[in-house]
Amino acid sequence: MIIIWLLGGIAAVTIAFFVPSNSPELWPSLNMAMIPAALYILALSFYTLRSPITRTARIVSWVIIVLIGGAMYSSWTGMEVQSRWQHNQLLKIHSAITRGLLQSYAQPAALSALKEYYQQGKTKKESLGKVFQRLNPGAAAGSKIQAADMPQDSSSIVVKSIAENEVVLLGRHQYSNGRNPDFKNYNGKTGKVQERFTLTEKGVSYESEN
Amino acid sequence: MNQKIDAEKLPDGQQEREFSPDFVRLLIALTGATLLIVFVFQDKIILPTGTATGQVFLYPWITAAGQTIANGLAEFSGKTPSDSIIQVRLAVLLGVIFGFIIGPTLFLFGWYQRRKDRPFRGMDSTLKGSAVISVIGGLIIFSAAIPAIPNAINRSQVESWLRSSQAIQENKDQVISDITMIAYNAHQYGILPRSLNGGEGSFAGYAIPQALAATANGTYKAAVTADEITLTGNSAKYPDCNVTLRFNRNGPMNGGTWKYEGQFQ
Repeated sequence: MIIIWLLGGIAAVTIAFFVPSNSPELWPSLNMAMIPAALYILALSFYTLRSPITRTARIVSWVIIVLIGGAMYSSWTGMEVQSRWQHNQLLKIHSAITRGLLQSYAQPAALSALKEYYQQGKTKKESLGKVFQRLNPGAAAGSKIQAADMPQDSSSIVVKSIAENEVVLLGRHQYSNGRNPDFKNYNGKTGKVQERFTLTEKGVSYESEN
Repeated sequence: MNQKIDAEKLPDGQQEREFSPDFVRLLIALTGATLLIVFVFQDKIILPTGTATGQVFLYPWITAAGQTIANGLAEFSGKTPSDSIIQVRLAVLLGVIFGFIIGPTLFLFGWYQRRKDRPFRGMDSTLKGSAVISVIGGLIIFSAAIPAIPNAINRSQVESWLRSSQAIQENKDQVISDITMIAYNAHQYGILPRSLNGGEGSFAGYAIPQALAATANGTYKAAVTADEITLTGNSAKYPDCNVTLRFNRNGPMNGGTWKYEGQFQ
C-alpha cells in the first residue's frame, strides 16, 4: 500500500509540475504541483490518522498539520510575492536610472548649443540648428549624437529633426521599460523608455514620452 | 528469529503486514541512498553548481524566488531571461516530492504501522523498520517544515522593512530627479538673455518655477548668487530627509556637489 501511495503521489505531483509550459519562471510549475501535493497530504492524513492511533494523537496531529501547512503556505506565497516585487523593483529602478542618464546626456548637449548661440551676441551669424551641428558633427535627422561622457551602452540620443530654430532630440533605451507597454518607440521597439527634448531659442523643453 | 517465526504464524492476520522485513530493508536502503545522493553529491550529480544547496533543495519556493530575482537581474542587464534549465526544474520538483510526498508518507505510514504492530513488540526487524521509516520521514518533513514557521512569523516584518527601505530609496531618487530638472532650468536661466527672462550670464534673479518648486516628491528652495546656486529639496514623505545640489555657471554636471541628509544618507 505504501508503494502505491508513494507512486501515486509522485506521479500526480510530477504530471502537475510539467503541465505549465517551460518558462523563465518556476512559479507556475511549482504552484501547479502544490495543488496535488496539498490534496495528497490531506488524503494521506485521513488514511493514516485513524485507529489504532488514539483520538488525542489524531487531534494533535491534525492541529500540527494545519499549523505547519499554514506556515509553509505563508512562507511559500510570501516568497512568491516578495520575489516578484523585487523583480519589478529592479525594472523600475532601471527605468529611473535610464531617465536620469538620458537627461544628463541630452540636456548638456542642448544647453551647450544654446549657450554658444547666445554668446554670438545680438547679431547671430549662425542659427541654433547650425550651432548644434557644429558642436555635434554629423548631427542630422535620424543620427545619433555622442554626448560628452556618454558610454557606448544601450541608451542613445537621436536627432529626430533639426531646423534653423529648433532641434528635437529623443533619448531612448534599448531595453529599459517605459510606462506604457504599447508605446511605439522611435527605434521600432515597443514599450521602452523614450524622452523628448526640444531645443529652441527660448530654451529646452522636456517631455517624458514613455 | 524464533519470535519472528512465531509472529508470522499469528492467526489474526498480522502476518500479512505490508512492512515485511525484506521490503523494509529495501526501502531503508533506497531512501538512504537517495538522501546521500541528494545531500552529499547534489552539486556533482543532480544539480549544476551554484543552482541549489542542500538546504534550498528542501525549500523549492526559495529556488523559485531566486530564479525570479535572477530573471530580474538579467533583464536589468539587458538580457532576455531564458527558460529554466531542466536541472533546476528537476531540483524544484524533487524538493516538492521529498517535502510533500516522500517525507509525509514515510512518517505517517511508519507511525501508523508502529501503532498497529504495538501488540507484537517481539517482531524486531519489522518494528525497527517501521520506526526507522517513520524517523526518516519525520526528519524530512520537519527539516522542510520547521524553518517555515519563523519564516511565516517574520514575513510581514521583513516585507515591511524591505518595502520601507525601497520607498525611502525611491523617494530619494525622485527628489534627485526633481532637483536635476530644476538645476537644468537654472542653468538655462543663466544662458538666456534678459529679453527672454534669463539672467544673461548670471544666476541672479533666478526663482524656481512654481510647477517645479513643489511636487508630490518634495518641496524645493534655491539660494542664489550671481555665480552659484544651491538647491535644497526637502522630501514630502520623509520630512527629515534633504538633498542639496550646489553648482556654478558651468552647470550641474560640471563640478556640481551633492549632499544627502537624514535617511537619504
